[in-house]
Amino acid sequence: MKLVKIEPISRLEGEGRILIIVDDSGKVKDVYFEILELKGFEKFCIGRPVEEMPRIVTRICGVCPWAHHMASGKAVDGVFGREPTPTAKKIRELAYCAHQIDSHALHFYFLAAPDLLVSPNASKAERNVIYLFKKHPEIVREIVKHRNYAVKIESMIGGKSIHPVCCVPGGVSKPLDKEKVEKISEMAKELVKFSEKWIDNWERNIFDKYHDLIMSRDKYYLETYYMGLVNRRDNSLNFYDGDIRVVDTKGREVHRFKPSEYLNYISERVEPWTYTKFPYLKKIGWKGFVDGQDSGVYRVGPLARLNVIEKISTEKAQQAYERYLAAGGKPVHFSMFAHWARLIEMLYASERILELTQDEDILSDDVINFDGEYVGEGFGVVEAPRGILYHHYQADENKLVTMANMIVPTTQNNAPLCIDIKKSTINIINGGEITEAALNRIEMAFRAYDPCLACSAHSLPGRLPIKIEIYDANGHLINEFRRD
Amino acid sequence: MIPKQKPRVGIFNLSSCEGCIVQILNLGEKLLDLLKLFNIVDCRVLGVKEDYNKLDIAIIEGCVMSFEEEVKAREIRERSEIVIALGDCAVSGNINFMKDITNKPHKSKPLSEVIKVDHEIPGCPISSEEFYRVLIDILMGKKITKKSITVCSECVLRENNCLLEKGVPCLGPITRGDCNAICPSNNRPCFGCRGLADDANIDALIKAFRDRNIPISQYLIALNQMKHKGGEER
Amino acid sequence: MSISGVKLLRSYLITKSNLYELLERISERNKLYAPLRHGDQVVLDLAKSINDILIDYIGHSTLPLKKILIPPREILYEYWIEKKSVTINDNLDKIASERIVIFGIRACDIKSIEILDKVFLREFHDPYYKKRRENTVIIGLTCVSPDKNCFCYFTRSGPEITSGYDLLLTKINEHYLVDVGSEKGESIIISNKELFSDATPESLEVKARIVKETIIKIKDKNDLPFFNEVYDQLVKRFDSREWKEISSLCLSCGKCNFVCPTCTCFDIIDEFDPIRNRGKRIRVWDSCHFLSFTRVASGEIFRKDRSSRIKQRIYHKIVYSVNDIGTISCTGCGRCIEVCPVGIDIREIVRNLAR
Repeated sequence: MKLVKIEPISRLEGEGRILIIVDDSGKVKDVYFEILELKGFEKFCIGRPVEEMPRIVTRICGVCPWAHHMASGKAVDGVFGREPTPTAKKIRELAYCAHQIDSHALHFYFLAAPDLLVSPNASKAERNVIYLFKKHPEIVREIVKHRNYAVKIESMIGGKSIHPVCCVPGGVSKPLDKEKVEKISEMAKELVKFSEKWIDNWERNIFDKYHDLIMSRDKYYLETYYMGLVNRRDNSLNFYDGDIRVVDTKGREVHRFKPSEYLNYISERVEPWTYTKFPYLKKIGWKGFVDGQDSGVYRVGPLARLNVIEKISTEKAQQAYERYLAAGGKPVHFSMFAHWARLIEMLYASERILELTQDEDILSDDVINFDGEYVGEGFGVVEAPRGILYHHYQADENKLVTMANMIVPTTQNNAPLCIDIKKSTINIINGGEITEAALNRIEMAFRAYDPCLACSAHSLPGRLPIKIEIYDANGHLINEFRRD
Repeated sequence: MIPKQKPRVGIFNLSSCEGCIVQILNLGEKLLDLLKLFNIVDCRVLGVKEDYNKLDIAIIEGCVMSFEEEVKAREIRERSEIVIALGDCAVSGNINFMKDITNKPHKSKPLSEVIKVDHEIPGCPISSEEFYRVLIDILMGKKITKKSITVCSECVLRENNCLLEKGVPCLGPITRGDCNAICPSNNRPCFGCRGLADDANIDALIKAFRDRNIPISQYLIALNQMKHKGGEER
Repeated sequence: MSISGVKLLRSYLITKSNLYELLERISERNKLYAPLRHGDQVVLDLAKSINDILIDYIGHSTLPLKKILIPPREILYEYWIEKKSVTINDNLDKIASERIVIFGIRACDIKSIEILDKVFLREFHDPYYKKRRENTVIIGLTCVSPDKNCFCYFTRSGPEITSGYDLLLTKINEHYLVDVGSEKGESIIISNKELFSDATPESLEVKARIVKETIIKIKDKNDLPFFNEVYDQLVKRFDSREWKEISSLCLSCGKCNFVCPTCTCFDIIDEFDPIRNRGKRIRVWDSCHFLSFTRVASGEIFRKDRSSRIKQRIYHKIVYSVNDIGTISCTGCGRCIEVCPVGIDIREIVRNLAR
């Protein structure tokens, strides 16, 4: 019984561990994926002033603080019974689009690209952005420069790009001025060009280079349900607001609901060997770690978003989207298409920022709506870069939090991620030889999902044990290690 | 003036949100400069792990929240010449300390309670500029001292409307500055993410809150008690 | 610049609309700093449009005029190292080419210039301050509504002021009386003479009356000794127990020093870029209330005790300043009182110690 451990998983936010159990003939029996971090935000937020939640929850994750900030801001709007002003919504959406670019760029260029631009068969020492910088300094320089435009836009609106402060109940804390908007507009133009260039690069070079890997049907391919936000009017892509839409394995709409109704549609399953929970579609039901039309397992994220929408409202991104669908079909079930989807979303976000800077409304001073009857409960849903994010709060008459529940996208992708890893390892690791390259392909599955592990394990109670279980072929527990 | 022997640097994280490490990535062009001056041999987030015995500089982000992390911190200390505590989690526990107030399963410890720390870079998140400066100063062998400036004075320098005067609980007067008072400049009260200012007078701030009918949080009172006991700032 | 005792006694009148015209003309060739609205505050800043200027504002700007003459953060020079040679570029040429006009300055701030001059232009002439000062024109505005923190009368720095400005405006009904204080001021009048008319004897009387009324307003709100007459009492009470009580209130936040028109202490920072071999030397404002202020090279801090730092500020203004430059440094503007989060009031301190 060989126990092969990949530890720690490189280039993921937070920390995690994959355990692969192989039997004596070298065939993968099972794959487990565990979280090693506990935060307990939901518990310790109780008793805090609810209007401070947007600034507290950003500390769940330093890579996607804006997602939590926005979802929290929307939930707090609901608690106070305040609808943000039109200008406030636009400012929030603008900043949030900048965050999508920031986060997608961070993921694609710093985390995933070294695999794709170097080669998955290259040695471990070469598969990182530092090596990439040595070999192609100009590329890295350009990437860094453009990502920093997005970071700059975030700081201009949120104060800080990491752990922003702008969302207040009913709006944002400060209006924009002409000078700022002009600067943002200039940067957005550069970002549009940059995104187009990389989509072109993907379509011409990267996609071809990895065509077989990406379009394989026996690994990195799952037929699941998909969930995402869509614009109410036309089912187009929207990161900040809209209805939640779920489509089935054939792309047909099966659910459409508002944030406040999520508990009617999503249940969470707890498994004994990990602290992460597994959300699934209540009405379809939990059928285990399997994909397919009968299983309630669903996916969120760039892949899912481009499956649930019907179009993209900005011109260039829509054209890119059409080429994407031509290659992948609809819905796209190939997990690796998520990288392509991210690039298209970056283009949409850049174009959308440009659109918003040209909207006169965004310069208005009317940025907070103080009118509203205190409700004491609120739901906030946004599309985090990694997928749909739910925040749900309750607060008492003193405006102190009494309950906080957050469902992060990584948790929602956990079941499909486990299924995907298992499928990809079963077919790659065969006959006993486990190369480093093979191990890295497993990590590639991870990269496609881009899980944020810091976000996932946010529930208490407190101790942090690590359990390693080894089973034999008959499912008997052979050995158990517990580290406290 | 690029050193021939580039110092070997390792970047590690314990319990944290990794925002401070992302702030390092956010340096942009200056990060590429740092890559020319330093040899990063160990950084999980960037996918670098070379073989090495000793480190010249170890940068540790995050709070110690388990026995494993304590062991990890000590191991790093043993093989490193200089240890930098990166961000408020490492410097003073940050929100992990908040968790201790409400639940007590495992006491969170700032890094300095577990190992000797040579430099601290405060903030939640850190200021990328400050990080860059500290690293350059270490490279040049300069002595690094923290300025005693407060957020309050930086706020008046930016000629902002004073939030305290408006009855908002702002911790600016007792918080270490050098962040350019970002939060109050965006109309949000300072909540002390850079840690206590040198010689902070929390008693006086509590009185200032009382005089303006600003509610005083349990946390502030607890902090004050700890300071009087001579405890480490948390 | 002192007018070396020769008072130019000419006065003129200008209408409000002509005043706007004058400012418009000035802004075409000069950097015009004027009181502008910034949220709830009044700030002295570059006026982008004449309509933004608060011609008749109440109170004073948050930060005093010193922020223009000694910027809070100033790059003193930049340098490049190439092989064995070093090139230094101080920004003095750039400063020398700037022409600055500061409009709307109160007596307390005008007086502060006299003190700043004494600090930066004695044996050693600070070149940055000097160049800027030479290129700056001061247009004052007589104060008619002192706020609750003003006490310039008791520091003999206002509300009446007869020197230190190039022009001094006083609002007289719908006109402004314009007192000339220097040749620079006179030349402004001459180049724009069609905008001015001669001052009438009545207008001069009205000004005298306004100033007297303002003095009464200040005296009504304050029961104070003259700050330049309390030197001995303060020296005697240096070890008074009262300081401990005062210091228990102080937050050491540093705001008082930053808003004070005559606090000039600064720190020097060096920044170096080892890849491009270039660097900068930067001067930034500092505060004697900060613990690090008296940290010396050995690491020793000389004013660890908070009360010693509060004493430093008060005594500097009223005692050490006299020893050093022959005059007290407090101009009675009241900014430190206004911004102090815990209400430490230099007037109360002096009044108690001078009993």
